[in-house]
Amino acid sequence: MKNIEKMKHTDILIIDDEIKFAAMLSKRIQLRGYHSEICHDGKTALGWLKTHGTAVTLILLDLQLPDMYGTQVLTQIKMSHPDIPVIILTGHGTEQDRQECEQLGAYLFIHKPLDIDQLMTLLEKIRETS
Amino acid sequence: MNDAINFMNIEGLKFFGRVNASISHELKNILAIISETTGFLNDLTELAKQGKDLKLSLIESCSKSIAEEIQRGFTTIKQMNSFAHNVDVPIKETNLGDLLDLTVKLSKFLSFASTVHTPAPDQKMKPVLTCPFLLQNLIYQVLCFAYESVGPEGKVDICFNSKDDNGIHLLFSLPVTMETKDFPTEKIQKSADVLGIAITVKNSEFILWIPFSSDKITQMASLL
Repeated sequence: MKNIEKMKHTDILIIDDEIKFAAMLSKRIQLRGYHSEICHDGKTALGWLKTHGTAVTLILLDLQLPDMYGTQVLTQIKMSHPDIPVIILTGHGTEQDRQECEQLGAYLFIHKPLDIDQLMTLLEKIRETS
Repeated sequence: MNDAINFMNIEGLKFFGRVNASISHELKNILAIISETTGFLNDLTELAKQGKDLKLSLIESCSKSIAEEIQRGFTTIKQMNSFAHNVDVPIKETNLGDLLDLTVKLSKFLSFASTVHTPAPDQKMKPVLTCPFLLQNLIYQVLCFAYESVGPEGKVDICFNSKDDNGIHLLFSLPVTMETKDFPTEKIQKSADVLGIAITVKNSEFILWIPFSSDKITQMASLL
């Protein structure tokens, strides 16, 4: 919360079908001075990335989406935007899911609930190295 | 009949596991929302400590959201409890409306669930003698097939036709353009056979004919 007033133009794309969760997470991210976008399904997210992908620093991706498996979305993101780190944020991902996502190029695999301070630290780290 | 009971046990356990996994996913989602909302309240508190104005409307909206999620949690636990108690008595007289209502609610926890329209439960509906747990498994499988066919944006209409003297027709209507040639799957057909239920497909409608009682169910009851 120290840098709450400092406006940072970093985009985080949240891909999660749980509307309230995504909205609340987005508010907390924005409160910290970052800009975030939300997509509730895989197809919308992939479509959005086609036009806005270059502005995205980090993607938070849920594994259970209504229209596609999270791993399918991850595969397509890695094909179209290989440089964007994708964090898998899941409610019930298994060890097998974790291994599969890592093989597909996920940056990190974490379980809900999310530690927002940990996320902000990661985001800063990614921004510094990119 | 032993084969049927073996099938029942294996499929029943799989079904129980699948539903419980979807319920735990739902509960975790609820807790994740509550967690983010309380986190947001903490953020606002920190800002207030730094001298920023605290908007009461935000606090009010967070409080409302938490209360809604707690209620959603209670409802989910109630459904989980009803589902768990369905195995208490293996064969019993069952109100199809109530059973359908609960099964549809449980199926809505699936991430790929479509919109479903169901008739309101009717307590005057003649009950059927069946294995409620297995019937629920069958209806759940049909719903999953329908959801996968129509997609998350699609719609499934369900209704009863109780004009038959020997049983009730349960109709699942999909949009007319849907391909239904793969229905019923082998597993769905086997689940229906065990319960003495006949399946027909008419255009884009799946019809389950559920007898008020059947020899298969009576036989099964004597073995359980």
